[in-house]
Amino acid sequence: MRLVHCRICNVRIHRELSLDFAPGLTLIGGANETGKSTLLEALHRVLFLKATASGAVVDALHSRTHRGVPTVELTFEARGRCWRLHKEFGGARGRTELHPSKGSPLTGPEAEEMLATLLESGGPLDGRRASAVLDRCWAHLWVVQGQAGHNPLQDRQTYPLEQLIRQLEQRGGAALQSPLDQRVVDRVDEQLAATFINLGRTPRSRKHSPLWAAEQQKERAAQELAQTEQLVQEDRAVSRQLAQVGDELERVGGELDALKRRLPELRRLRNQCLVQGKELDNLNDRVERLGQDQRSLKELTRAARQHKLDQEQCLEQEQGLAQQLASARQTQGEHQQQVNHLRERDAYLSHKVDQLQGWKEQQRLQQEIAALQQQQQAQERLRNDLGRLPPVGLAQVKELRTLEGRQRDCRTRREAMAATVELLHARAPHQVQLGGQALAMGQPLQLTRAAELRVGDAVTVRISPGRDQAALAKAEQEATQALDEKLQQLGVASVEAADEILRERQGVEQQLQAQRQQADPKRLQRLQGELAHGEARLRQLAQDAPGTANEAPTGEEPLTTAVLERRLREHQHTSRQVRHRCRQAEAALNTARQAVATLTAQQAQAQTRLQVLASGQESCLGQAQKLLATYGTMEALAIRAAREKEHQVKAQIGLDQLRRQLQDLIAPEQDAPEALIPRLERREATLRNQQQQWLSEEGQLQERRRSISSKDPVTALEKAQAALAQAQEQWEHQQQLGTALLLLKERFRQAQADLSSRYTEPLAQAISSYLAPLHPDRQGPVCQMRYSRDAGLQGLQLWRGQTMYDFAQLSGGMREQLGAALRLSMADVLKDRHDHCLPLIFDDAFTNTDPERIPMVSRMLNTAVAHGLQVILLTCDPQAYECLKAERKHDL
Amino acid sequence: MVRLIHTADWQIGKGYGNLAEEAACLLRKARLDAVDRMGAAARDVDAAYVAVAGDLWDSPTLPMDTVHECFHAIGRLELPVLVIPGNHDHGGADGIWHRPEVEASRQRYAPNLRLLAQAEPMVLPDLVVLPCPLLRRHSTTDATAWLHGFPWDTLPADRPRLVLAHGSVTSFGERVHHNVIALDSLPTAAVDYIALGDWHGLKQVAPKAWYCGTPEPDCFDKEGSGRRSQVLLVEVERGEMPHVTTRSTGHFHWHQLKTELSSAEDLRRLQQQVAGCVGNRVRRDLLNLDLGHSILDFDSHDHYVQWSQGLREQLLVVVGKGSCTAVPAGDHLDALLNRPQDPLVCSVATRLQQQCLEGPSREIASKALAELFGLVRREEQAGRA
Repeated sequence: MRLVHCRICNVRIHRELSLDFAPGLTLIGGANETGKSTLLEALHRVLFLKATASGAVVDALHSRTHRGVPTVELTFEARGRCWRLHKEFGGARGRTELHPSKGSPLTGPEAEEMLATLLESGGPLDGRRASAVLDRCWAHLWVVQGQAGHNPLQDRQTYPLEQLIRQLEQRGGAALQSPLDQRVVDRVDEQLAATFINLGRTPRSRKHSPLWAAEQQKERAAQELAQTEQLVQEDRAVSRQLAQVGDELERVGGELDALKRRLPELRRLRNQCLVQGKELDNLNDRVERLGQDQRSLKELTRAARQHKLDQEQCLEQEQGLAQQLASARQTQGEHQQQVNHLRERDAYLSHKVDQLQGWKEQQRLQQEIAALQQQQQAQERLRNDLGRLPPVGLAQVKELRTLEGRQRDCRTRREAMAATVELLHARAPHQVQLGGQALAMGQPLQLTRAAELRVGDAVTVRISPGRDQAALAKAEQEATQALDEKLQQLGVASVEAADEILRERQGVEQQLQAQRQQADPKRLQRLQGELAHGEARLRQLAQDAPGTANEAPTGEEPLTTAVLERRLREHQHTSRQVRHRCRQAEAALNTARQAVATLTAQQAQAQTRLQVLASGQESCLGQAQKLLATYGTMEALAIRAAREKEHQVKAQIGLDQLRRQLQDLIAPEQDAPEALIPRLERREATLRNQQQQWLSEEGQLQERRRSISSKDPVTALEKAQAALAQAQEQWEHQQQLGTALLLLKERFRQAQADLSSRYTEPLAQAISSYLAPLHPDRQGPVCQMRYSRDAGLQGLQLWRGQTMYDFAQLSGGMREQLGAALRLSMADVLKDRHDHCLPLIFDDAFTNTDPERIPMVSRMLNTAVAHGLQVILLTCDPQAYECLKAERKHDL
Repeated sequence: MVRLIHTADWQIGKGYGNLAEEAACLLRKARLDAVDRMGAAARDVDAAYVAVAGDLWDSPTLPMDTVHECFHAIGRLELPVLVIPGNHDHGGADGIWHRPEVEASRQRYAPNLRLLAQAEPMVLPDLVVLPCPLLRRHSTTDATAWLHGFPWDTLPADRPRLVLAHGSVTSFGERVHHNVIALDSLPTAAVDYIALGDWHGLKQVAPKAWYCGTPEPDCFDKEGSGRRSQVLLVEVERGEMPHVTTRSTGHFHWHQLKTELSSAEDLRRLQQQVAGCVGNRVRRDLLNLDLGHSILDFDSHDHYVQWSQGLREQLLVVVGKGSCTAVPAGDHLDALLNRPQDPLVCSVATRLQQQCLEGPSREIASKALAELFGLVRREEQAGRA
């Protein structure tokens, strides 16, 4: 199919537009809003939209400026004939005519049907359907503005998959799959879906599938086997425990029997030993007591004598102590007197020192007060001096200086503006006159106003000074007057005199300030207060004088500071000596007191000891009397002790024999019978408990054994093993079946992939030929895609360097170029069904493409034309496509 | 010279839990019937004793009906039956021999049975028996140890000496850790015959030491020796080598075959092999048939299925292991591979066929091919319908 000519009327901006299309490349340029997209839209509508359609898609064609029904006429070639299509989009009154180059024209639905047949489209669209699918018609061939970067394969509806596949099959000579292929694949999928879940990743058995049931059965069998194995293990464990319990019972029984024989004999011997031992102990006690009594009697007699001697010695000591005590008390009294005297003297001297310090302080204060009063007088004098001086301050002096400066400035300006005339040489000096007066030679004369200079009669010259001398003179006079008035006001003769007075005032003020700081009235007041306080304290000291201490400092010497200080030092020295002597006397007094206390205590101890000795003597004599009353005489006591000793030896021999027998029974233990018998009794009790426990445990184990045996664990184990083996086999069978299905699926997928490459490879090769300038060094296709029956063509990817990029990952410009190449490739394949030609229209389809790439795009379009395709390029920048071999160019 | 029957490992009451209950019942009964067959053998050779070298019972907890039945059969022997406890019926406190009801049954039905549960010589008028009983299921000590330092001169010198023991001899390998008998430690000259039990096959382990095997086989013979169903007739005399002959007592025949079928010829050979083992016997044979990963064409597989069905009817038990997969071959395979009208099926079948021949997962590929064949056949039939 090839577009030849079009004429559109009353379509938006176009009142009437008529264009011829080149068989190959047509370039239509035009700025924005010149109707390029409208042209494309009109061509699209005339091919795919019924003339009687209504709604938004038709309304959009109407022009706001040109009245009349939107009408499009398109001449094209198809099926070996030339056709003229005429459509008036008038809603229900719309009209369609299709005029073949040969034959009678067709109108209305007949014409629409024929058009659809020529285009191999699904049929003309009315308004309702068109709003949904119109944009998809030939969307793989015609690129409307803004759609150039979209992936043509993104939506299967936008490209004619079935037509492509038919064309590719005709080229490749093989079909993708037969209906039986498909049904078998479906059955495999069904079986897999019935067997597995999560097929995309790691397949797992589907619930209630045979595989799942086999897995469950296997798990149950394994659990059953584990339980029976546990039962068998338990049976064996119970058997072992029973054997151990039997061994333990035998051991415990044997030990118990031995204990039953040994313990009674041990007890008997131990009791005999105890009885014999007690008898021996009694004998020992008696022998011991007799010996003690013998020794006591002798000791008591000796002690009574010793007590008497000690009493006499103690009496002598007591007397000596009484004498020492009297002497010590006398010494203590003497020391007390000395201490009292020294304390009085110390008090007197301390008072004296305080008094002298008070007098000294009083004199110092009086001196300071007198000095302050002198300073106040000097201050008064300075104030008088200051009052006599004129009141000239720093501000007044500054003002005077300002006035003086102004006066000086006025004079200087006046003098500078005055003319000076000086006669330097003249033969007749008198003839030289100024203002009628002759000029003296060598004496310059200053002119403050205009004057005439005559030199004889022949020469008269008017000399005028600069500016207004009168005004300058007046200003100087006013300045002088102001200065004089100010000097008069201040009462000074001149500015310099004012300066002198200022300096004098500042000196007096500084002295006065210094005097004020020194003679502070508050300080005088404070000193007078301190003086009054000191006098009061002196009076108080005079009243409080101890004894003869109230002595006024009125000696022969007059009271001066030096006298007072000397007396003070003397008194202080004397006071320190008195205190030192006082401390010595107090120490001696304390020593004497301690000696008295010690002697008193020693005397009390001596008296107590005397009493104890007397009591001890009395007690010893009493005890001796008692013993003698019991035994008669010392000799009778000795005979009785010897007899008891003989009994003691015999009892000891009998006891030793019993102990040897006991020891033989105890061996090999080393314990004493008192420890061993309770231990063996405890052991016997423990063994009986153990025997009971073992018997109880044996009973429990037997019961457990019977319980386990009722389940016949060995047979149950064999059954469980057989069941597990069977379940395992069944599971393996199902597992293999499932794996076989997965393998089948995988093989089908591979086979489908292999077959799909028959479709994708020609397209990829075609795209690569268009994009070859982009990849001059690349061998093989520059892109790849996949094909599947379900999803169609998809997964378009482009090699960039060593990496594959998805369409969406490419830049905007690259997407435009790859999209265009894909469209041209699809048209290449499809053109055979349309007389080896299909028209492609690109409306500003390379706006994101770099200007450097436009020549490559041009070559791509030229290649397409060379392949027999018709290309119509609408652009707002036709100059960019200079290398495009456009056969026809239009400017809108 | 004393003539005796050496037997062991009766394991009366064995459950056969891995088999169907009906077969297990028949097998249990056969073990009891073997006692009568032993009695017949003893009477034939005029044996004086029946010596049971352990494991007369299968477990310590057998039901009493089995015990009564067995003792009754022993009682019918009318010969002294000398029995030592083995590991299955050990002489410990929890063993079957300690059950009072078992002892009562023995006294009632088998007074001719003498249990030798103590390791001490039993001097009989014409024989000295040296029993080595096991007193627990797993003993770490050698039950014959008491004979290592035995004062042999205390025994009568005019009677043959019979050692009865149960356990594994050390030559069986290191994997045995309990109930081990150090045969080399026994003085060869001091004893005249060592009757051993525990090994279920016939085996002479020393000039005077024999394992007699079980009187009735109880499992598939993994080693294929087949010597499991006999008792030994022993003629023993003091200071002489014993004279030992075997006497078959088994009723059932256990067979174990392992093969892998890949053709009709393989199947035919297997059928001949099985027929050679079974002959015309009916329900007296048990077969364990391991086919590995057998693969047969559809016709052979149908033949195999039919044959195996008949086998199950003739034999008492057929235990099948492995798998036998039917795969298309010959015309079937050609029909699958040569179908240009169905390119996908054709391509997949070709690849799977290659994988079947040389791939590592041949079995899976075979199953996949068989599955594909089945699917195609079903779809074609559905299409025709």
